[in-house]
Amino acid sequence: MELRAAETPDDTAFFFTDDKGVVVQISCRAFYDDVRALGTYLLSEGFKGEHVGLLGANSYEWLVVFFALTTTGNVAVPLDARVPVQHLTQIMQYGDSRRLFYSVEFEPAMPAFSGAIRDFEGFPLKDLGEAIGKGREKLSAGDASYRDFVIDREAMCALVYTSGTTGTPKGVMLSQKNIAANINQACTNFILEGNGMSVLPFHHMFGLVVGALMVFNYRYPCYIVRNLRNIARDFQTAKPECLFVVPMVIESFAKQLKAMGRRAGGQVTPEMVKAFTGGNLRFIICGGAPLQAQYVKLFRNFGIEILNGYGITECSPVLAVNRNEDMCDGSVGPVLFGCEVKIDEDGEILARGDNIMLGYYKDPEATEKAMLGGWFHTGDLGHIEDHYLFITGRTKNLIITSSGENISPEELEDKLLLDAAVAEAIVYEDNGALAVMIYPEPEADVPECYFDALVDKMNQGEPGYRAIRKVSLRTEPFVRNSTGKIIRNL
Amino acid sequence: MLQEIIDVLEQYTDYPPEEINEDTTLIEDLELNSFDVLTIVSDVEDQYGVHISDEQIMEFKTVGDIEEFLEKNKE
Repeated sequence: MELRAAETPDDTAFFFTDDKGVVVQISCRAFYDDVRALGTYLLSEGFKGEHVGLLGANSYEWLVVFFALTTTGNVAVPLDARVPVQHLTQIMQYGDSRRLFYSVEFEPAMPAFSGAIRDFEGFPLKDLGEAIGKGREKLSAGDASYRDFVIDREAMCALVYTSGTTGTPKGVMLSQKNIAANINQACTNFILEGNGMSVLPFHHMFGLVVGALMVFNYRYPCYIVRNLRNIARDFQTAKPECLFVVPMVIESFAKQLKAMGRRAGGQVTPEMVKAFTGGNLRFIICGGAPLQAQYVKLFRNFGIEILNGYGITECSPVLAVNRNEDMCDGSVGPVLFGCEVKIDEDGEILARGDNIMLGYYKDPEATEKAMLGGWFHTGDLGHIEDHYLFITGRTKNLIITSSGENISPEELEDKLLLDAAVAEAIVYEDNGALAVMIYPEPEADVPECYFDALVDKMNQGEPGYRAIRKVSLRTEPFVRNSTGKIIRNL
Repeated sequence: MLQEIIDVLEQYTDYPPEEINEDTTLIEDLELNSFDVLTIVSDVEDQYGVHISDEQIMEFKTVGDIEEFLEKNKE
């Protein structure tokens, strides 16, 4: 950041379309000045080693807060804006966070935070300008606290929550060294030569590290998509050379292009795709979940190469990605330079390198299990063929949606099992949506619709991607293995 | 109005348009994902001059839910 401000001060670092439809360009110098001023303000306000929540849709302000926190010895705790407030307060309590930067739509939720968290302090992102202004005044008066602060690159700078295989989400502790290593490793693998467009939410490491920080490191402008519903307009403004997305976005683009073809009374043409995507799109980096091969072929026909990659939050997040000139269909590409990957005797993918997390927050047992033998155990199965990594399955029961969300079925099943009428339940994925099969308690005298209502009620407390869309009942108990565990493959 | 909504929806799904009705569900029947729904809502907002909040979008389960909202809120 400092280097770019010095070497390319007038180049655009980030740009976005504001609420009034005006395109705002932020230069490298302006970005650094904002971060420096906010960092100075935070230090003067006693932010020292704090775990600070960051809640809101993608925005320039979000990035400024992230950089200011992580360069002043504080820990940024990115939070998923779609998670119900009750869960967010639990996550903050578990993560020892009492301060929160939030976007305006969360204003009504602030009483819930202050009610649940002792000494809670909320900072609206809409007022960030004031804090930056105060920081600037301090800088003008000679405050050198930000400049003089010595960053410990090995210390935790981000605490990122990910769905674990059991009940509570796990807090992944990442250091500056982890994240910087991953940016440098990934930048060697894939070469960007134009604007990047950041589509995925910043609370996901893929959205933040790859979608924004990597583009910044490439020295190309990064367009921030603030609301996905405006993406058609954003393409025309951003004119990206590359997009960073999850499969769900590609599936949706494919539908929109098909619709475009229908409206034109025929097939969609490369010219139509070019017009839709702003004219410069050459690459789409896709990760977070497996993508069906048909989409790679479809977009290749339009002159756009989808480069599949593979990552996991614990690896900051990228482990492998196909490259512009070195790709193999069906694989997730070559392993990143500087990162070691091996396949163990059970077929599990293990990784080692500077990008591997420090551990799980307050969970030494889970950390030890994940880092057994000095290698991070990804929980994914795969093989390496001619230096390309292929993913073949998972050792855990996590359900990965096409939007890249990890859902622990056991977590939802445990909630259902709290109801006396549910004897056994298995949550699984059915055609891209969550479904549940329930074996009712034989003694319970309830109609079938009771279970629909039960699931509907449970869904109300869940974000959309965790809602169960289909309920079916069975008349026999599930088959169990020799250790008494239900055999999940229905 | 239902027909106008179906005209928008049929661009995003392979589901037979003649079989789409108020009770048709967006995710299970039409196999739309949440990003599709956002895009469709954007189309509908332009067409009817309404603003639909992200919270409201989460409430849309069926085609009838969209119709009911637009009937109440269109300009």
